[in-house]
Amino acid sequence: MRILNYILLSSLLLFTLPCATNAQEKSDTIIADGKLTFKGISISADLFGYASALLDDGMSSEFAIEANLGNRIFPVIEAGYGSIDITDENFGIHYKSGAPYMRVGLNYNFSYTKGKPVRPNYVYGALRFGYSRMKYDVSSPPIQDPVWGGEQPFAHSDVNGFASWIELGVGVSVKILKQFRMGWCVRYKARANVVNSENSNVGYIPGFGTNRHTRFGATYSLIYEIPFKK
Amino acid sequence: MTTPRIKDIFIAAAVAISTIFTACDNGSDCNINNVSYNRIQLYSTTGSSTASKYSYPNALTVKLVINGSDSIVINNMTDASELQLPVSYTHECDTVVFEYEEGGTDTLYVEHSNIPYFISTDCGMAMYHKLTNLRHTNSMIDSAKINDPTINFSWHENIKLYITE
Repeated sequence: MRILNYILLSSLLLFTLPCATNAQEKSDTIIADGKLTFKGISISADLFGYASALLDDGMSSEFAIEANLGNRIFPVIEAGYGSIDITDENFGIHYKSGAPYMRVGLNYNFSYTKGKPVRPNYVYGALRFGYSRMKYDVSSPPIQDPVWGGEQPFAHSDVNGFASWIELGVGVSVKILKQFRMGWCVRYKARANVVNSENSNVGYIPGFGTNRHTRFGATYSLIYEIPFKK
Repeated sequence: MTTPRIKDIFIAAAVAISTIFTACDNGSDCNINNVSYNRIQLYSTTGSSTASKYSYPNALTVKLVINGSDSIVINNMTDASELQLPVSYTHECDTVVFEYEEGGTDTLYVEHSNIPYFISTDCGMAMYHKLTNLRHTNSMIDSAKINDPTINFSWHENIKLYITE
């Protein structure tokens, strides 16, 4: 609950701070020239991944590095570590996994208009390709044969799996201090490929969530813009 | 001019991709009872490629030998052409007895491996199987062939059973 409160409070900040920063930025206005020149690099940490554990969808720690090309296109690399350790109440299945993941893609600034001032706060579209190679442990109570009787035990450790997916999203990025930004991004995730084992489906995909065809996800990032001199 | 074009392409791609993937997503993939069946199709002639599907016109009774005693799974079925039989989770050879209305019986020995399978935490566990060998008597069964060894929730014609008319 405490994490949710933080998220709600900082969401409010996200919509109140633009007024303050707009006034501050008026003195050094940059006009959008339409060129994709390199403007700098920023690094960010996702805070939403910690909250997703509350939704029984694993927990993830994620960092990203983003390049600014003309304040319009932002190529991004996101890397993180996702983990889950759950025991299902209905079937008594225990599933445990933890593995790194990576996403590559770009953000496109929807608020960019050539010839007009570049806004410090903007709405963007996000496109990502993600993948993860994971190991997992899965076990269940013995499987009962309904016809012959008898049972089969089930426990497998260090099972290998792989999955890749595509994400499309919409986000908001807001300047909160001179070098710091904050942002939300809501994402629609579609699984592209999954490699299961002989005895099990992959149950959890780090960076994606529970293994389903599609999912919704979100990031809530604190971003630091590394000072860049031409 | 380029700015709105890229924006439009991005939005169009987002709508198209999300529509395609949402259409493919049927939500939960859970099977109703998590039981996979061995599917047997009857054919009228021996192993040639011209064999045609066959319906046994008289009453057919099918029994499984379970722990030493017969258990009826199909009782006096007429026009039988396709049979779905459960598979043992712990044995590696199931004995299937066919009783024909006009008299006589056949026994089909279905050898298989058992594959306990984790589907998901939403859907639970299942038992899949792989057919390894078939043996049979020859009262009315001419021959039997493994068509697809994989027994799971998907529809497979696992065994082709050729009946002498």
